[in-house]
Amino acid sequence: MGILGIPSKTDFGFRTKDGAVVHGVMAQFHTAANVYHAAEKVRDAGFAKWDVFSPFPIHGIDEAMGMKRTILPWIVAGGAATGVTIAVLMQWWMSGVDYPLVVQGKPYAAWEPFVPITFELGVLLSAFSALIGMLALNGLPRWHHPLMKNERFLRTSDDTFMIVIEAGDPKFQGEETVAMLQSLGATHVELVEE
Amino acid sequence: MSHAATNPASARAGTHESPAHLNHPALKAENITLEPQRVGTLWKALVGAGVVGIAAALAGSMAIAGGLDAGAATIHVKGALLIGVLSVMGFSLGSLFFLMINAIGGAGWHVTMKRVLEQAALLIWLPAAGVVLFALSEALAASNDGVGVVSSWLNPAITGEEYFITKKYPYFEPAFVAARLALYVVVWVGLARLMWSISRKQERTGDRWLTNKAAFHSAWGLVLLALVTAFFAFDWLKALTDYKFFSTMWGVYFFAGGLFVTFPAMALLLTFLRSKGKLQGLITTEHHHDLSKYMFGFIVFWAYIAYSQYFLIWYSQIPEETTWFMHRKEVWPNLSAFLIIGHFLIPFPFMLLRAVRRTALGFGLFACWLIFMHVVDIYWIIRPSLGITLENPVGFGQGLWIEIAGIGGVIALYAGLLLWRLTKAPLVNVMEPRMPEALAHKNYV
Repeated sequence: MGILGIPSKTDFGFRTKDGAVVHGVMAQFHTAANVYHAAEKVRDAGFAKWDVFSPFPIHGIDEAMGMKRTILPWIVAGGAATGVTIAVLMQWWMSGVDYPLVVQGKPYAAWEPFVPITFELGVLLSAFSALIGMLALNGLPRWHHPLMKNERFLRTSDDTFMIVIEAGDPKFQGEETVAMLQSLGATHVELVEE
Repeated sequence: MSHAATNPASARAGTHESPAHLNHPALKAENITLEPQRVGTLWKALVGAGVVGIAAALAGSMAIAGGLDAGAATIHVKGALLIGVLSVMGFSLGSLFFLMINAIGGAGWHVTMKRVLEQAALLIWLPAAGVVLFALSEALAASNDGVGVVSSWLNPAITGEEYFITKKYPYFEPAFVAARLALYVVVWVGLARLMWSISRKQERTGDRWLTNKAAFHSAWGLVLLALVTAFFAFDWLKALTDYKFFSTMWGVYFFAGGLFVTFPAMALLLTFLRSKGKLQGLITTEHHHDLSKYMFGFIVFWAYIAYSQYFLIWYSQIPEETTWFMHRKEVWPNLSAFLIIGHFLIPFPFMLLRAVRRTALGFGLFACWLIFMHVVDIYWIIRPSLGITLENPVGFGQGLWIEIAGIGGVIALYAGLLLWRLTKAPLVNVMEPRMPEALAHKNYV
């Protein structure tokens, strides 16, 4: 038994002595600079399932965390291309094939009036794919998250910074990980139950 | 004062406190001074090529004049030179506008490229002088029974029309046109000199509050610049090509074109200076990334306003308005299609890519293309209207080399003089109070 009383890994993952599933450990930092440099060390230690929580965006934190660039732009590009294609085909088929009408003496299926609708549908599907893609990549929406029942964690939306390393991370070593976080300058390290 | 030896500006700082960033290694004199001997051959070659190009265009037009209507060859070469002048004017006006919006917006990231922008803005005198010379040649041609007149409103075949006399004449009273042109030139040169002198004074005195003064003068200056440039575009692009043509979007169209060419030209110029070992650590990939974002933004903005202008005129089909587009659509269909494809459709998807925006090869290639397309845009506005009322105007392809020599000559002359000017002052105003922001500039997306 170490500082937080996490026993070593069982066949059922990390458990507290009461048998509760360990979600991970949460380390509190008081300044953005501290959490930034701690994040660099956690990144270099090779952790994969972890995150930094801050009340405001910290410039360069994605680099300090070693985060890869998101694929979201490509999802949005796909949405835009789909919207543009649908809009052009729909309008061409409607006004050029299915029901050609003379409007103001303009040619059937003239491209000019297609442009605003093509633009709008392109933007609409871009926006949809941006929102839905972002939610999907973040694993949202979800009913609950273990961190949300922790009073101290809620302060990350107010005046403190946190690094949370999940127990599901292959590098997670229980008490050793706790000791590492303390050595990085965490002012408080706490166990988070599932 | 270790920096005093390397930095003459700080030695003259006088009563004002020297900013802490003066000791930054990137601000040492050799990094921000373009020695005349480094580009002496190049700027002289460019100016020489410019003069030769313009002279060849003028001489060549005389050579082909024999087989044409009286005046057709003159109109052709005058039009070609005007296309060149209006193309480079976009860079100077765009730089001036960009300086002023950044001053008023309190931007800091761009201050390491601000001096280059100021130099480009200051060079507005060259295209302005080009337009004045063009106006004088128009007056001369008008007094010569209209032989060689380019402007539609000076064309004797049109000026006799009742519509012109009753509806348009007061605006095109020659004295009024000349007075307006004088006002445009005075405002442009005045504003460019104002921004320049504030920046130079700050460099001399180190007075950081001059930055606020620049913001104050930008506030009223921007309004004046926008109005003057819009009316310039009405007079010397729209009325020149067809005085009956209406478009309230026209001033914005010319403005959008100017900014469209400003960012690629800046990207190329800064890349050139960096290749000479200058501005190391001052202009980084991050600054280029932002320039590329602006490039992309004005590709879209130009397409947006150009399409909107065309679309409303296409829909409402008022004869005075549609004639201008009809002529370009039916007589010059390939050029019109090329404009849409090359000016918008080709660069748009590529400039979306981060890889293109951040690598010199990527943005450099597209910068060259966009500058070319800006010239094509101005060409598309002016060229189809040249000699429109003549029986035997110069057709496309006929005497094309004269156009290339004339347009290329003006651009080379402008580029050469700009390069020469850059050797005349430090490439960066080291006393900029927002310098630390530009030195640490980074894109976090």
